[in-house]
Amino acid sequence: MKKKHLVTMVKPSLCRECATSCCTVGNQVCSK
Amino acid sequence: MWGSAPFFITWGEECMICPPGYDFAAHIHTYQWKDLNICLDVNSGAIHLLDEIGLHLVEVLAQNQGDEQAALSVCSRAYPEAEALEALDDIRQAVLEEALFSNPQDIRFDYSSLGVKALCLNVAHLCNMKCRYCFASQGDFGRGKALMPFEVGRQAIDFLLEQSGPVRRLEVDFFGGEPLLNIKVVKQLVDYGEQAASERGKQIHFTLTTNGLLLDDDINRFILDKQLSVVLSMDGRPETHDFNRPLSDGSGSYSRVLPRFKDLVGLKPVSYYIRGTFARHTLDFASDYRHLADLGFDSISLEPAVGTGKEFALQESDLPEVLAEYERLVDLILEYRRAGRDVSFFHFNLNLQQGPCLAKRMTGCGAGVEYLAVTPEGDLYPCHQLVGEEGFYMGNVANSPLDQEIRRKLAGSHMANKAECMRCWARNFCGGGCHANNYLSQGTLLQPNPVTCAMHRKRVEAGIYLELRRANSSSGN
Repeated sequence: MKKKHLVTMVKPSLCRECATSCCTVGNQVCSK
Repeated sequence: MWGSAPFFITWGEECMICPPGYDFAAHIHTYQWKDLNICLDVNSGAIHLLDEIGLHLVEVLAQNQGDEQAALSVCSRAYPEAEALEALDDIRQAVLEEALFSNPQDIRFDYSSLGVKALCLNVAHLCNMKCRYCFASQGDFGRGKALMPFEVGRQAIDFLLEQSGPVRRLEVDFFGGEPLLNIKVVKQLVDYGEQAASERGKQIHFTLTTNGLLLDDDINRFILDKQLSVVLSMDGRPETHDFNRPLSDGSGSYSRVLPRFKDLVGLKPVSYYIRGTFARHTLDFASDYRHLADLGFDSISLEPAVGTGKEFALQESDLPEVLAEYERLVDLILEYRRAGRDVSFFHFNLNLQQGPCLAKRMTGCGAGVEYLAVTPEGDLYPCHQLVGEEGFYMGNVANSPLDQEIRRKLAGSHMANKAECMRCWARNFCGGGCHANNYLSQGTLLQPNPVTCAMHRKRVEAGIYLELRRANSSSGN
């Protein structure tokens, strides 16, 4: 059994309706 | 700019895992936090957990500009070659899935063409407290005491509706000073805003930032009925809070505001944050988080004092202590989780799966373009921290249009125009930093504040670690 050395925990995840951050834009949620 | 396809190319014996000139420091971030080896692929947002060999190989690949043979040769000196080859297989698979060593995307759009989405209404340029670190000069922003008349607020809301273009979800924050000193106008403006927005097929989400002294049953009912989000100013332990946030007569305010905040939070408003400030003399803010959590609050934000005053705003020499405190805070959060409580810390909250699009991330807070602050007289500034700042007056709500030169200056200060930000792995989480903080600390909108950057990077690392720990525990690991 081949050993896994890298496990992808978050797959690639990358209108102005989402919230105005104010700054930490990374904690906003896409309104779509 | 490169296309988005994964890159493998063989020249003779050399096999490269990414294009020549790939900027590893800007596009890949690896770090260890406690028991986890973590790798962030900046351009795709993918996050990987690595074992010791995997981490070593990714780092050696970066050191060797993506040259697989050179990296394997180095890695095989430290680990069995068969395992190094296995790790390389895993890495290549991630590259094929565009989840590792991915290329930047070229996002171009006319940022200055966007409409206004959010207003900060300074409904009171006066305050019933004398907080030591206040960037608003104890409430009046150095401009003299004033309350916003309803007519000015109405013009501001009309301005927002007219300038918002196709955007439907708008935001208004009541700020100051202490906005509850002008509660009658706040109530009138919420009623007016609801009606006026509805007539245009739009919605305004209202928020209120308050020191809590004037909260009572009537105001609480209003907050609940109108679904206002509230930001409640409280710094933590009694001695911290009372030192930082004295009343006008110099006495402490902790015992006055705590029961009021408990009453309001107990009524379950649509959203709340207990929002504290830590400064140079109170760098042990993890203890304040613990105090607030033990009081029963589960939505906490503790943030560094800002401004140019060296007495309170954090300096480079404070960083080792602050960064260590963030690590202590992570341990505390996990301690509460183990006890069955999820006590959120605003700056560690990252949405890793469903965050905003890159166009939004590149423009950060939107100050001066999508977000504006309004004084009691109706004067417009790029944001609440630049109110009264020379060179940033943008007009008045009574007679738009806005000063387009300042608007263009702020629009041009997006992340892609900040060379330092484009080389930073955390750029898609911070959005280029706070314009006001950059300007007031560095004298230019285009240069981020290195002290703020160091704190932000640490918070992103902590936020990712906490999300991975949550994912691990929910999958039974």
